[in-house]
Amino acid sequence: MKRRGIFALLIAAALVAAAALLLRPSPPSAVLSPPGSAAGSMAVVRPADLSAEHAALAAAIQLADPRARSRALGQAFQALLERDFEAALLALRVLPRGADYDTAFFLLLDALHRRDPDRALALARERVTTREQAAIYNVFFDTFARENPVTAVSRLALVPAGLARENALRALTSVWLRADAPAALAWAQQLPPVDRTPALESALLELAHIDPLQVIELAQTSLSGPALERTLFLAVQKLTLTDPAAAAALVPLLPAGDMQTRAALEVARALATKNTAAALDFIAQLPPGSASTLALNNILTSWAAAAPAAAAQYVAALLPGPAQDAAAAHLATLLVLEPANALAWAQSLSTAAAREAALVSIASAWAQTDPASATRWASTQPAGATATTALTGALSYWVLADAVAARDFVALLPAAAQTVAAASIAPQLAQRDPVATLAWAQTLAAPAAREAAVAAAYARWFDNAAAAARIWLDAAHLPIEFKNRLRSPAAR
Amino acid sequence: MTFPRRLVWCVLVVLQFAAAARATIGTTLQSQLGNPSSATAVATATTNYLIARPQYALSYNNTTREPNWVSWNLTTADVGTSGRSANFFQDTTLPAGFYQVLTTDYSGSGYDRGHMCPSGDRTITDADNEATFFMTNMIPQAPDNNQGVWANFESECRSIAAAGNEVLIISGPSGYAGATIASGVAIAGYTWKIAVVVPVGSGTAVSRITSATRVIAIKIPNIAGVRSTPWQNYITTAGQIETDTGYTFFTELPASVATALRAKIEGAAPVGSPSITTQPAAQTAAVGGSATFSVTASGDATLTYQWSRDDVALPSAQSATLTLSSLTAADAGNYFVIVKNSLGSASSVAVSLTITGLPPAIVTSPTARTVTAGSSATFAVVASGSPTLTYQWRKAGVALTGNTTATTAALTLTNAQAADAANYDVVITNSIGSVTSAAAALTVTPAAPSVTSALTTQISAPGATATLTVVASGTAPLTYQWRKAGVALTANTSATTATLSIPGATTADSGSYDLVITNALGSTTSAAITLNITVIPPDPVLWDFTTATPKSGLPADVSGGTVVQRNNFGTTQTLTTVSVASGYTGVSGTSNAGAASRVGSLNLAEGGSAFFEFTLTPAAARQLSVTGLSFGARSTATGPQAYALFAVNGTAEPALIASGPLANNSVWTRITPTFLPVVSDTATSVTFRLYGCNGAGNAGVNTANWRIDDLAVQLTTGTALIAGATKDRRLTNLSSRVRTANAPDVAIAGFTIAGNASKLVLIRAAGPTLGALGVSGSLSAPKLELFRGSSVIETNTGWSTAANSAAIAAAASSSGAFAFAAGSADSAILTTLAPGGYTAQISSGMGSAGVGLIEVYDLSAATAGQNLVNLSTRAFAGTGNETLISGLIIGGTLPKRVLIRAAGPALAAFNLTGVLARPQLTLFSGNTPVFVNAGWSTSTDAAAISTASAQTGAFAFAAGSADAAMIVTLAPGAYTAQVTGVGTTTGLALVEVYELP
Repeated sequence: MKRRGIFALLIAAALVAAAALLLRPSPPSAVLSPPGSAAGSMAVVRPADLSAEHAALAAAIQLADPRARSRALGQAFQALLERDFEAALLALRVLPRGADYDTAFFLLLDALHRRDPDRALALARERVTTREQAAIYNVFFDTFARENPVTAVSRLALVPAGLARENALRALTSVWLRADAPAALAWAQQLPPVDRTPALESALLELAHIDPLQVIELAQTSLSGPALERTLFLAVQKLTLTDPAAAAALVPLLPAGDMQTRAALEVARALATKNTAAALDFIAQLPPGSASTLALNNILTSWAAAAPAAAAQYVAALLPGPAQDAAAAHLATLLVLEPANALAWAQSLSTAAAREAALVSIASAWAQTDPASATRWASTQPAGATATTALTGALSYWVLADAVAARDFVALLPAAAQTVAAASIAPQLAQRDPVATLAWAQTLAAPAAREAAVAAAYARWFDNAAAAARIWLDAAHLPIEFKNRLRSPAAR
Repeated sequence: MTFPRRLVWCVLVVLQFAAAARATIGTTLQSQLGNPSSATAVATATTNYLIARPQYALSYNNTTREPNWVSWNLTTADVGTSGRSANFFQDTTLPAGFYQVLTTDYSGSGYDRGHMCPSGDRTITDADNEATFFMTNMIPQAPDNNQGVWANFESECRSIAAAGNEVLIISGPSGYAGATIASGVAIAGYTWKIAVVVPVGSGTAVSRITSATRVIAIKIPNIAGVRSTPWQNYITTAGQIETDTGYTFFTELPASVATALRAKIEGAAPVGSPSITTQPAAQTAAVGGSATFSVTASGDATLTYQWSRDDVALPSAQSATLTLSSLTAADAGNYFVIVKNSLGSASSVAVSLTITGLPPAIVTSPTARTVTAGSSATFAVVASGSPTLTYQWRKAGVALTGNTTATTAALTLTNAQAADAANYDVVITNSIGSVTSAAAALTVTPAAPSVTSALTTQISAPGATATLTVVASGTAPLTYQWRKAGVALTANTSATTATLSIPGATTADSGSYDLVITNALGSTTSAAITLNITVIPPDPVLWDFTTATPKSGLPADVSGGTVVQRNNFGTTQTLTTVSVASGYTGVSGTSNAGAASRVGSLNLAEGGSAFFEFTLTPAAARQLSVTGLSFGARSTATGPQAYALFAVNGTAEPALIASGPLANNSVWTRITPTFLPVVSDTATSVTFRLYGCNGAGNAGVNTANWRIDDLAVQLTTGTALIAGATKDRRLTNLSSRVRTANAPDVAIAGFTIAGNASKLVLIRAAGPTLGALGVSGSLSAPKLELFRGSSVIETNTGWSTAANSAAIAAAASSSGAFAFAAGSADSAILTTLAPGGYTAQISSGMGSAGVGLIEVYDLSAATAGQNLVNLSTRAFAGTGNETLISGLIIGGTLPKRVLIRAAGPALAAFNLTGVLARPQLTLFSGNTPVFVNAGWSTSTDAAAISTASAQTGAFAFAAGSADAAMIVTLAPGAYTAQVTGVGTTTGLALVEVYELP
């Protein structure tokens, strides 16, 4: 708190200094000295009493809560700004750099750029050092471009290179394109390379809302790297909204990689909402792999909502392999609105891998609506990896919904299942109440479950609050050997 | 406007049901990462109130009137096809005492109602989507932020989810600068979002998060100009957002994992770049003592340090520790350090050094002031010292009281007068000591009165209190005398004060006023102030499309006004707000409304057109009259575009009241169509539809979206706005262009006069004059015969041969008909006819066969029930020049409903041969086709056509026949009904126009 006191002092000094500046003899103001007025030769400028603003600013800076502080500081600084710009500028200069400074900085330059753009640009050039501050150039050039894009272009000469210039170019081009697309595009294209990329990307991102096909064409000849990827992706997204078939034709032509995959997903989803057959035809053109698998999942999302039986039949008929397993796992989550039917369908799948993938998915998805039933079902499955995954998955949701009920259920499980289940939920329980969790863990009937649960809960507690965990362990009535094991880093 | 409580209740019930259907543990699913502000659902937690819904969880702040944060879980299964809700909802679930932000509270603010949990993330069911439209999920977002970079990142998150991930998201506002929109909702400086990306798997996402999990944190300025900036430019860390907001994220994760996630930077800075691990701390030290700042940083290779004070780098301050000794007042300031290596740099926070033990010292003393009487005088002092200084100004050594500035660094004396002249000083004190400034003299010079400020024009409404004010200064006392046109006002008691009040002003009070101000030193007169007492026209009803409802101007006795849009696919919905109307100089707001436009000819078929529509309904016993409408419009089409404005009065068919071109190529233009007033019936709705359609030219390039903004409607309301309306809706002219040859190609026009009074009518048969107007093959000498029944009652061949030719010429002129040349062979009959049915037959007479025009004009004054109610023309119809064209003019000021028919196959029943097998009837307004029909029974209002035919006495068309017909309501103006044959068919046809009630 004390460290803010000096700021108040400095601000006070700055404000008084500002008042003093105003008291210096100045030329008569035409406004304040009407012709014939006897006051014409006097220093008629009237320095304002800024003590209230000063006090408010000083008080704001001392607030501890950053949200309350920024609000109070903004109000105080705005009030000062409205009374006396120069005093506000002096106050800004002595504010500590950081979020509060940025708040005041924005208020001041936002006000200034509307009445004195050149001074605002000069001040920004002098003061902008961070990314947050450089955003003021977005505001500047949005305003300038709305007033007159050509004048705005001439003001770019006052903007330093780097992020400031990029922001200015982006704002200018974006506004200009919406007003006069051909002119904005022509201007952006003739810029030197360092300016052309951000300007053209902004122009094309804007144009993508209007004419995505033109954007796809222009981007491929004018952009490269991340800017190209971003622009192409947005254009394909927009085209997908109005003409998914046209977008589908473009996907194979896009540069291979993440962007192409995501574009394929967009198209698959859009096609599927209109025509499942067309969507399936589309993914048939994709090379086998994650893009194809994910695209099918997106189609299944729409398909299962409209015709679950047909979607289930389709997945069941897929060729055995990873693609079918992935589709089965995804579709299972969508069919679980009717758990019995979903389980029957999963059990009917032809391969063990697909069955297991579907059953595990069903357990988790079912648990999102009825965790108790899902967990109970999972606990009845034949022992094995699938049952374990299904059980722990369902249990994690039950703990979210009703930790006590989940905990009590685990206590009733057979030893082997209890061990796995207790170890899986203990960290979740310990996250909020480690002492109670450890007490519960020690009540479990199966010794292996007890140890597993205590170890898991203790590890989480140790991660969160090592000192408290150690104190508990030292005092706990546990076998020495087990305590030593818990103390070992390997146990954590 | 408050959302109707009953409807809100219904919505809430639906959402509650949805909660049960969607996920019983949905509420906890939505905040798996934790509760960043420890929000609670207790009513006393007014700034941190927890709202947990199946769709999201949030902390609501009743002070800022918006969420502190919103948390939700996004998977591909959350994204479906429900579409976007048409409405926002006031959140009535807030505890009593909380302000419920209204759906209209953002109107006119320039900020969007920005979703935190996006609409697009909850589209599996309508209820899920609607839950995101509670105003508790909204913050004021700059349109460029909301619709641009923010929307792009929302889309990015959905894309990530579609790629097989669960995305745990927390979002909110930060960096308030104290500003609010008018309704008190706080405007944040930034919007932030943290997305934790967890590949799909078994169990909760939170249970699968590790230190390697991907985290994307962004912090975007809530400002203009960021629309097309990539979100990647605003990547930050969750830790930075914690610093900004004071929240703690990831409380449900192990501490080690949470720590790792907080530091993650999407796209990552190079490993090994400097990072501050221990920030310097603020210092306080006594004068003469010492202070030490230190920083700990990590990073590859050699790190270099540079300390700065108040942005000025300090020489020799280039190590991790900065020690200052023998401190003086000059050492106070803000210190920070920049740490660099070859991979990058990091800046520490700036911290202060406060020097204590400094007694007050005068830096700048107050200086003497001389001011004129009546003005203000200010003395200021600049002083240093620590701890805090206090001030006490004195006048002639006596502490000033009663002046709030007397205990600050700057003393201001307002309205200084001679009594204020004295020496002033200030005593400055802190706990270390005290100092008194030198005295400064205030001199107040006497001054004659002068005017400080005054308006030059004042406008006031009749009946209101008109107020004129002049501010003056000068040596007290000042006396005042108001004058009107140079004559002193005596009856008004305020006429001798600085402010003149005229209660219940009338137009007689309009005029030029001035104020004479006098004191002992002289007198001055203010400049003239013009007072204008005038009726101020009602503001137009204005939509700026920040909402679908009018922003302003809807009179109390008119309801409705919500604009809906219908797109090219036939979907009708309340419009949604969209982008800034950039480039449109008339723009008033930040949003505009858009719709996909029809490709092809405009029509009224469902799914066949795109329009904006609003309905205005006058209250009981009231009518409304719409006298003007304007709007800004923009079309993205590259080809010609057009608009068409229809009015639907009550249950009448839509009437075209205006149409014209619409700018293409995304150019905004202001459109102000002219049309006759549209007056509603008492307590009867009027609906306006504004269509966008392709204009003339290549329809293939006319695929378009079109947008409107700043829709304004001039309307007045009252009782009995349309006395005599019934008689004012009538047909005044019917005409047909026909081709004559020998019988049966003789063209026959029938018409009917209704009522019980005779009517003066002008009947013309144009031939040669058509040739002069550019029609080839026109009749050279048409013969006109007027029949009643089978009797010829008048005949004419060559209008100038008629006894009343002068009257014929005058009647043609007064009715707006084109003039026949003097002595031409065109024919005409001007006569008064009793009510009943007549036929006018036009034939080639002694001249050559060809194209002619037969016209009937009603020349009588409008009288209810005394109308020209029908014209029918039988003639040959073909294609091109042989098109059978009938013209009609709707007179008066109100739309008229008419039945238009084109009979072809039906004529066979009258033993006529060579009939047109498949007539197509097209109604044109100017050059714009507005309705078309080729087969009456295919029309959506076939039943109404059948009924109307029976009512008017027209013979019935056979069910399913190819005869064409339409019922339309037409605004006053000229129209043509053209009959052609479908394909290349030709033959005899009958075109009929009937007035309908």
